[in-house]
Amino acid sequence: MTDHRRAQRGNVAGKMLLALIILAAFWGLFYWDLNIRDAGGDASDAVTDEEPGEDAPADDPDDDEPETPDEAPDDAPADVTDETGAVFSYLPVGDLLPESGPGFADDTVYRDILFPTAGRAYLNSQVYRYGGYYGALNGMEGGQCEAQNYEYPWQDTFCEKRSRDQDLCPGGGHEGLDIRPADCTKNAHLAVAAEDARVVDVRRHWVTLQTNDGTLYNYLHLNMGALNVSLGDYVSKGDPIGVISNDFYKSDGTSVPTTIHLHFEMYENYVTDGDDEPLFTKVNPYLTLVAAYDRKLRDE
Amino acid sequence: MKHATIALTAFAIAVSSSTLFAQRSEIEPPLERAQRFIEERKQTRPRLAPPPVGRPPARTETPDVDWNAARALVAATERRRLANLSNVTATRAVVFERTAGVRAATAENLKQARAAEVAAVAIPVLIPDQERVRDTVQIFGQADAYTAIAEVADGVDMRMSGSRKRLVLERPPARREALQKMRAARPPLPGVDAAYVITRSESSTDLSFSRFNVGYVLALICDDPENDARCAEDDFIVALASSLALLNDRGEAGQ
Repeated sequence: MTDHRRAQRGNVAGKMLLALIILAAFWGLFYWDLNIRDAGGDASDAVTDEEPGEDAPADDPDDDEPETPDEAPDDAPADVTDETGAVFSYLPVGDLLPESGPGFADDTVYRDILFPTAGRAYLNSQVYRYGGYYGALNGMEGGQCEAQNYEYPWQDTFCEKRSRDQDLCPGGGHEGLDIRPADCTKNAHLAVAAEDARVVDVRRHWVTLQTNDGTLYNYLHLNMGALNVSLGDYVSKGDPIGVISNDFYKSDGTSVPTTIHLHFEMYENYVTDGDDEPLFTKVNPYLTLVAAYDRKLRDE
Repeated sequence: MKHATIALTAFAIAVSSSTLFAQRSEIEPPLERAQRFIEERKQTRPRLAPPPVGRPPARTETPDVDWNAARALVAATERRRLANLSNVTATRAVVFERTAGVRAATAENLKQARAAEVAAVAIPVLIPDQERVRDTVQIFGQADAYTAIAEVADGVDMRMSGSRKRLVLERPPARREALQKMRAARPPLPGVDAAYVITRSESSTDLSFSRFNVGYVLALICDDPENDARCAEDDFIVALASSLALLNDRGEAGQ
């Protein structure tokens, strides 16, 4: 009888042991499935193997209803808000989205410019967010008109990863900033002159302005068939340049897909203290644009 | 008792493994990771007494143009050209490459550029000294800056800009300092004797140099920048920037 009880206890303990091992295995499999597979580690390799082709919208903006930001919370007034009441916020310069490139931390506000678009604007990635070719790397799958693309905070995209690996952006290549207008409606939002300037180049899918002291601005992806300016024109700060679109052409006229946005570039001639040899190159205008938008929201 | 001990050990193992895998849960799904990153880093602008956004340049300078250096460079280029000519013998056919350097030229000889645009500029107006450029160049002059645009060859256009104004940055970003070191490490542009850097972006391949206290940037725009060696590699743009025409000599007027 004693042996029988011992055998019974042994069976119970054995079953408990088996159940616990199965439980442990279950936990292991559950967490593995949840965390490792979904982390998408394999997907990041695709970035180095494939060229994004700049931007690739996953939906047709003409078919989508434009999204607007959420209403401002009641306690917003302590911070600057836009005309919808949404609190303006932004990430520090150089803080690109994960998996999207090295960035270029430059805290210089180069000039006091007028923000180069009319209305609300959202600086963020066209490639690594909703509607972008690599949006899935950050779990941002969907179309370019997703409401999250039209919300603050802003994010820097200078030296965002492209196939070009070069001196200014090692491992990067995007030497400008992408600005979404208030919504994803095509040909509805104006790009305006950041300063008094002259139109010194109009080609394919961009317009170049130069100030009378040399600064250059490139405006890309405007509707080139409906520009407000011509080559050689003088423009005043705030004058319309054209409407923001997705014009993006190869020289043979074939179109490259991209999102509705203004790609904005800035060249400055600068020296560092103690050096007398200036460099006239593209610079990161992120904080220049943050300062300009801040002034705009304050009606300054 | 023995079996109870085994069961407890198994329980401990199960708890430990659960804890271990729970720690793995710190590898967040990508969307949550991105959202957390954004939430943690975002900042706002207080309505009252806002701190400055970033830092302005320490100062802006507009140095005098070194026209004497410009004239000396033109003269040196001419001397080299004549020296090359004197090496040609009557019995030896020589095919010349254009002499590197800066040659004097006049805007009146350009087909599409307006002389008045060049006359308005108080800094040396440089363009690549190349036939197709001379035939097609248009110039947009402003007192302390200019831009010239032209065709260079089939499938390649250019834009060359100059600026006298310079911003002085007290603490430039580390990568800009790296760029300056790269410039110092390269041999200078042949004939122009200027250090340079080359950068590439979706809109152009840019060669930047300074001379006579003026900053210049030559941008090449290729039909197929990724696969056209003229934009994808350095040789073509370096050759173009090494043989320049000076369209004005403002000397005293420009000072």
